Amino acid sequence: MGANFFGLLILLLLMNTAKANELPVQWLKLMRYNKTIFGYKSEVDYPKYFLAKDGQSNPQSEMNASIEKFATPFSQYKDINQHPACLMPGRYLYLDRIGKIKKKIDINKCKDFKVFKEKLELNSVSVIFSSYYINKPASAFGHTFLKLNKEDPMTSDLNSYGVDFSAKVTTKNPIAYGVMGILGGFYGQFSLLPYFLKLREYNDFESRDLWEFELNFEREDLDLFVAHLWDMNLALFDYYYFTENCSYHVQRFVDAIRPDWNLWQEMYDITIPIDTLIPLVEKSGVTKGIYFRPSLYKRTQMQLNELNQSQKKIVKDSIDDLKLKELNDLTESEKIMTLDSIIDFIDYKFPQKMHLATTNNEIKDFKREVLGARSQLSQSSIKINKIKRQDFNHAHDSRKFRFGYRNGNQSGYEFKHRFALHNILEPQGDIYSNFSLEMGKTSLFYNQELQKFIFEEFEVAHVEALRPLNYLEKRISWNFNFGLRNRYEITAPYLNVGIGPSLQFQNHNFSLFAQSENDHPFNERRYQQSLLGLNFQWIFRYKKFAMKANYKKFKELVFGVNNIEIITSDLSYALDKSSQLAISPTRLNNDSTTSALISFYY
Amino acid sequence: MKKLLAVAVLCLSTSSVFAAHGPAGCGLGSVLFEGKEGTMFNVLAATFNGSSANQTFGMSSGTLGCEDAATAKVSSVSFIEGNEVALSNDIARGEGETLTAYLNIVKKQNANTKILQKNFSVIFAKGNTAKDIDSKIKGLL
Repeated sequence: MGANFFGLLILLLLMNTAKANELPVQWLKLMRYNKTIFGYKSEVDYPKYFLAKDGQSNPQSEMNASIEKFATPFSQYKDINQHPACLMPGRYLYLDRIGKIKKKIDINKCKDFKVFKEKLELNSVSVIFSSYYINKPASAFGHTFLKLNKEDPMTSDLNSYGVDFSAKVTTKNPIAYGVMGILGGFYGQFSLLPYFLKLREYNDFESRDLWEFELNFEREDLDLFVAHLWDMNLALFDYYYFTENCSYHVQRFVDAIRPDWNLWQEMYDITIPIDTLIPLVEKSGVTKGIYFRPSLYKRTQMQLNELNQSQKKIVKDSIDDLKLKELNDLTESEKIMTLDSIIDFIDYKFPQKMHLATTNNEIKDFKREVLGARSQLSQSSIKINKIKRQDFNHAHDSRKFRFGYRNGNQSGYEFKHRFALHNILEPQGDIYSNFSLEMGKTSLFYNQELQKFIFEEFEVAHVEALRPLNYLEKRISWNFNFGLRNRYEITAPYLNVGIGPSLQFQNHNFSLFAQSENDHPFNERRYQQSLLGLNFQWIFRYKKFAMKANYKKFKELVFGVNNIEIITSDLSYALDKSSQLAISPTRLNNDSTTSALISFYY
Repeated sequence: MKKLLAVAVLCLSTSSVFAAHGPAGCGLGSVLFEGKEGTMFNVLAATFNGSSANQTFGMSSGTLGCEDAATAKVSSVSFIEGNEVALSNDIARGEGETLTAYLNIVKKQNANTKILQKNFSVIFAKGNTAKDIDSKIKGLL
């Protein structure tokens, strides 16, 4: 019986392999078929996308049905736009190119599709990455979408269209939203919208940098791109936040147009937006231009950094009072720099009041006053909106594996792994700054004396954001992490939170957090721990070297123990983009340990 | 529920080619959840890149009501709604990317932008809607 079953499995696999060899790869990619042990299954979840009854699982059958339906004369349709070739011109175009269409039709007669094509005026396509802005947790992972350039990307952004893949939300309940977003409870769909809406949302409202990778499409690729985009009207996909998200679908779309670029490999893994961009840059011939739009926050900082002390005072006093102060003592150039700084700072600091308020407010009144003053000065401003770049430094890959040796009370070998994304001590490249965002970090320890592996910790998430104080903003820095930790051979949840001010002096950052660290083994009260106190942190960076030291002084609240001191430090050296050395001395009261680790990113 | 939504979404998106200028306007208010449903919901919406299922936009439903019904292109009023902040900045400065894009839409690429700069306070007077702003600019051009 067992042998028969395995024999049947092997036979199925062989049959599927044989079938796979007959079907063009691009057909499978355009239709989003994935290989399964029983054959194929398309990721498109809407039945009307398929012209064959078994089309979702049978690529050959779907191809045959498409060819047959496309041969139907236009005259049989009251509304020509409902003809299958007009609904799916991408599919039609592809099948025609590979010689499968015998009875050709003129898809230029598909009125809606023609209007769509003409309004796009597609000259090139760019993949856009809106990067991290840790001030907002929701902006933490970045996002990718597409821009359909009408002309040179340096000059046509605001007149071009964008294409976004998003989940269609059907609940207002936050918990249901979270669960459904992770488990495929929503549909996701591609949508067309004016690119300026995405620009304003990401670059201005959320203050994210925008990186742009203009794809090296030929004219025939662009024609297929537009037609395949129209096909997406009938394509709904189950949306899975960690795996089949926006970046996944953008990557698969581009991969379907140019399968020879090998941008997408079928594997069951989480999709991190930045990971989908690296092949665009590293594979030869895929990208023909790289562009960078600094966020509104960065543009504002660039302007403020150019001001002298009297200009800075005018900016601060004006914003504090929401009333423009006298500029008479300034030259015309200085007046313009000062006013431009105030203009950008208001937009950065009050995005809700500027973009979403439907009625007037004091911020808008103040802004109008400042703009009115600016309009009286005819000299040009120095503005940097968009820059063409020669390269893109993504700093390091997202996943990290660490291995090393620990010497101390208990000596042995450490093994650590995380799924995403960045630690504050890692190289920053073009996209990271003063923050940590790590998820799914597992720590194992091999105790040499006991000769056994011990599970130490599973950190679900670790987030920290350092937002140094400056003369205009008194922002708060914060840190938190939570997960499961093994203490006294009991694995229990923990939650650590810290909040406080931070100061930056050149390469040094100093923070003082009010810190709370809590372990809660539910059935073992004697091992419960709740620490409250202060956490002084010092971070120093210089080229490839980074160092972090923490001095924590706590009172333990459950048992009332005072003066618990914890000193931790981490000295890191980046060997290259894919590896890092670290030494981490730690002291808890009188117990000291030191770890030496090597990390590999992948 | 998910399947019903699929039918609703796709029926609307395939049958409605040109959507008139929508009641929410063509600004960030029409695409963001922000401020509408509470902080936790907004964080989740942005984290998961979610949009309302009521925004049935696909490829053919008129791009969120930003298009002119007759031409199927972004109208000058819609452009102002979506770019008012940046446009006001550029007009006050007498130049800029957003102003250039607006002039492309109204086909006045060679217009004298200094006239607009001088009349900033008229164009962006308190209480002016996007339509008012559009009329004032066109009047000056």
